[in-house]
Amino acid sequence: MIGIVARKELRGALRDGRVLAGACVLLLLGVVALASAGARYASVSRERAVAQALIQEQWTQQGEKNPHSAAHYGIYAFRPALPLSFFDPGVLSYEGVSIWLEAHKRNFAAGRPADDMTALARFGELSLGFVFQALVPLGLLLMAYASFSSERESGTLRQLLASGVTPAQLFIGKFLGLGGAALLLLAPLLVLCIGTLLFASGATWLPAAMVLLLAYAFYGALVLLLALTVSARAASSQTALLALLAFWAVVTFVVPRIAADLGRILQPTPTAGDFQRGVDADLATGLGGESPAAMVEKRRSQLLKLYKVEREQDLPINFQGIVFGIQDEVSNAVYDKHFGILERAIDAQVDVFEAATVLSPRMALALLSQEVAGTSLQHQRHFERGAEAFRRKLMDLLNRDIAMNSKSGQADYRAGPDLWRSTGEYHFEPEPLGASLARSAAPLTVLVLWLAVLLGAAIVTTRRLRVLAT
Amino acid sequence: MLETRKLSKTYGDVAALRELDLVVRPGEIYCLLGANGAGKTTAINLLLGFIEPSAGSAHVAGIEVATDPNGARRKLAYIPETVMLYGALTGFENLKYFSELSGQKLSDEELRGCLSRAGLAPAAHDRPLKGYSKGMRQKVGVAIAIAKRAGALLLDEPTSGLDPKASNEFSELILALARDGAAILMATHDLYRAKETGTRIGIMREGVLRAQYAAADISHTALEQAYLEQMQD
Amino acid sequence: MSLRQELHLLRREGLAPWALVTLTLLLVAAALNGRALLGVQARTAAALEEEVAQTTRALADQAGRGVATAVSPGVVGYSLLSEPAVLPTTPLGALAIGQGDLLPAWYPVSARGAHHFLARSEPENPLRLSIGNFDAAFVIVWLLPLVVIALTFNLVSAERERGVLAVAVATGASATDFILGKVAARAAIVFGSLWVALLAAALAGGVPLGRAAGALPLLLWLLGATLYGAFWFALALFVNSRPRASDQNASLLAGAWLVLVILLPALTNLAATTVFAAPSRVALTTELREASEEADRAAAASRDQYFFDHPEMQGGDMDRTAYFQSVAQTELSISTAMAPLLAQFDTQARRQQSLVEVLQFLSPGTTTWQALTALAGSDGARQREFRAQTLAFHERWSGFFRERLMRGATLTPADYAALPQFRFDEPSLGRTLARALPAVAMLLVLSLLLGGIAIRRLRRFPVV
Repeated sequence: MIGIVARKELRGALRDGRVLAGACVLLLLGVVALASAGARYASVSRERAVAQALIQEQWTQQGEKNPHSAAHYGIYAFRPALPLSFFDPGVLSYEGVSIWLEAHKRNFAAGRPADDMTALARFGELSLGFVFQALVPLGLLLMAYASFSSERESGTLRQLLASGVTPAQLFIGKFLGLGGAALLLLAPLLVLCIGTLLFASGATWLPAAMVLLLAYAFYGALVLLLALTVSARAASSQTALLALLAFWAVVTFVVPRIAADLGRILQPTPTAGDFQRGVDADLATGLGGESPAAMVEKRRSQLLKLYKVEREQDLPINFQGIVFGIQDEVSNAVYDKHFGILERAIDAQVDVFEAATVLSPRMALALLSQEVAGTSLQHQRHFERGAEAFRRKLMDLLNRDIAMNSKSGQADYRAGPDLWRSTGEYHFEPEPLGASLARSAAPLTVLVLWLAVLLGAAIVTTRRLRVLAT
Repeated sequence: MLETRKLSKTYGDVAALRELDLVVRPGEIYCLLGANGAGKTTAINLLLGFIEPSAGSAHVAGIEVATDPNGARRKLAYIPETVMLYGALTGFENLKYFSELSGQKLSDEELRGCLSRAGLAPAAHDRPLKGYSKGMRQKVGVAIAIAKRAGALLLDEPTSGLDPKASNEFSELILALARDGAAILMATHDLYRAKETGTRIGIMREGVLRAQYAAADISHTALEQAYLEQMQD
Repeated sequence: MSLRQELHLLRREGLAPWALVTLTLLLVAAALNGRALLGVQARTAAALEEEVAQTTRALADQAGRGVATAVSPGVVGYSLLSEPAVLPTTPLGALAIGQGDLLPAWYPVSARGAHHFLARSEPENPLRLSIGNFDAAFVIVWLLPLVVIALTFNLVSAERERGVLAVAVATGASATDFILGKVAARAAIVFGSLWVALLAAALAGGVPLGRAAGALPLLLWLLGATLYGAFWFALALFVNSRPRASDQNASLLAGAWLVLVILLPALTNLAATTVFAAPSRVALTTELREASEEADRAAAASRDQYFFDHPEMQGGDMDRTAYFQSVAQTELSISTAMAPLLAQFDTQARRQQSLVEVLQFLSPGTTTWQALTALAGSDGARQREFRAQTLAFHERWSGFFRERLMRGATLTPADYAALPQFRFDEPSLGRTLARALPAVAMLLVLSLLLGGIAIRRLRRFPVV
């Protein structure tokens, strides 16, 4: 019975000129989004790989130099583009792509792609993620809003039930038929996406892509469930359409903006000025009560006692290297503190946003999608933390070299390519899929909650299905 | 086969149907006469389980409609006043779809046979329904009912809007179905048709079954007179 | 049907009051949101300026007492003092945030190279940035059309379906007048509420209604928003002028909204950033590194030259002046090397903007947005003007210190009093108001065109 209904709905949808036209438009938009994102991904990947290699070469070829000068020269870490970013650019257009790793200072990431886009970029980027989060659901709504209501209005619903089909069988049949039609129509685009992914990065990101596919299919199922339920419940096809369009517009565009700005109002982030003032103050006084100068003094007396000498100049090591080390210890702790404050402030804003996803399952899907595609805020933090770890290792190596290989007061100590090469190359390792999923518990819960609620509504509506049009 | 026991339906303080007691046995054609709003359609909708009774019960082949509407529906066939099936499908495709839904496994030839028996010309079987006239659509509705081979048949104003020839063909068909053993309840305005086809006739007004007659026991003129008397106030 | 009767009917049907209450609430909430953001920016700028003023006063005082660090143009210019170049908030700023939350509202101008401060940004939540702002311009451009569509999609089709149109025409009324009467009633409600809501939003957003700089742009905002609404009414009428089922009309209008408000602006941005792609920031980084290396080598060479000239200084540091002269030279050579690439960024940005200004005519959504943000002073043009003025100021500021440094002069309190000040030169009110003209013209033309065609078609409209 369900199969019969499903088959009819499927065939009906595939033969409907408007459905086919809509699918063509979606396909076209999807191809445009894919092509532009794919091209950008290719050029960005290449460019950053080349740049990283160039930076590395500049580092190893910097000739004979005092290691501390080299530390000030520093090195750059570039964030490579991840393959799934062509599908969902996430927040990365609004995050810096490179970090200058220099001595004594932890810098912010710089080079935000959004700074070089026009103001219209704030209308939203036309990405595949957008096509699947906003446009495909609209298509599903338009396909299904009249499913029950027009049958009721024309009288075929009466005929169907009189034949002995139960409302539940009808609902499930319509769901499967229309859902199947949607999948078939979207299949070309999906195949293109997977193909592009495999071409770009082989099978490494395929599990993530499968998770994305599941998540988006889940959201599509939610939307279809909603549309059919509203269609079964509404007084007329018109009412159903209006209600669904209003829901779509509000959930897709209005709630996210309000939620994001609400987060900003409830949990403001520190300004750049606040940040800098905090850092400067703590650098001067040191954290934990001991001033940097005092720490240096303490270490000096320790070392003098250890090596049983009277003067700094008599130490077998260059004390300046130790001093640099202490300065870095202090500054690292200070930056940890203040970056921590900043991160927690932003996290608090994101928490407000996550709470609001209860009102908008699209937002939940967007958050999940970004995490899995590797283009979320947390992935950027992973990049920043990795770069910072590399910086500290680098500075440590350079400081040690000064301490071990030169003498106090030796102003003309120069190190060479051997030291530069020994620092190793900066290498970015993306987080595993498991980490991303672990962080996505909240959006996943919201999506499952919505499913539960919509299923409940569907069951109640079909049980009391209104057959007559008056 | 079709039975109502003190079946009532009230909307707010308006009584659409008041304590209807009705029995239609297999082979009988019961014609329900009455003005618009008399309660004929309400009675049919209650028997179909499309609305729930306020009091009393409706039964199809012994199954109480309110407790098992799906079970009841499997035992009956229904032809509404305007047969509005799927315009994009042909007459044959519509019949096939509804026939499959009712659990029937008829072959294509058998289905076409039903269409022909209902009076639809073979040339029209494979044209899209949206091009059919009202009479042709009604024949598809009848074919669906025939194909279902249900024990009971509910008809709502079946001859309204049909020309006399089509009306006549329809009557013949109904009589044949009754001879095959179906219990038929027909709501209609058409006094003439009621007397010609019906076994029993009931006159309804404002939700109440005012009078019942055996068709054989009353003449056309007497029926008309009785009807007008009931309608007067 | 008379206007009054139609208004009564609308009130009874219930949709109109709801839509309009929502519109008003949203506009006021959006304006408050914008004002909050602007408030933070204004306070930050004020705090900065106060801080710098204090530092300057302290340094001037120290200079008077002859403190070494305060009299050295090198130390002061290159590491102690920087002047904030602040982009002031505009009267209508709360109504349209534009790029205001993304691009810098102030630059810390020091004597060092411009590339040190140009690329700064506030630490913001990128999730919020990627989603966009909830401001009054958003409500007008995105949501006002939805309200209009909700009220007009079944304008004619419902009456036709219900048979009311046939009855009305049978009584002798012309179909066109009947339909236009319905449009007029709805327009009256929408525009009446829009004006009230916008005035309320303006008050909530702190727009100074008493001043010309506040009142005139607001009037143009009202005009722009009204014409935008009128365009959507005309489009709805145009769609209604062909006999179709109500829900088909709704689907068509929803599709139009999707294309005009969402897709075309996004595609315009894509086109502009693809055709006139900005230079790569990554390439900028590597170029900067090369330039720094070059400059450092040159500086080392000149340092060696210095010690050659002053062998007695060997073993100690160069004296302060010489050191900073070397720094100044280094900065100058890096800036000179970087100038062409940085200029390219500006060129491409300007070209992108020109392309946008042409492509905007593909969609009333884009033109209206451009106009509303231009009137509120939060568009790309004012931002670029700010950057240009900042760079010019930077020339003056760094020149002030470099000139004294190269002369070997010291700073006196009089010098401190004569420090250049940054004041943003706002574009004239007339020029700002003129930025709204393309949108006004386009919306007017489109509304009249679509409305005209629709009315002609309605005269021959099949009543059943």
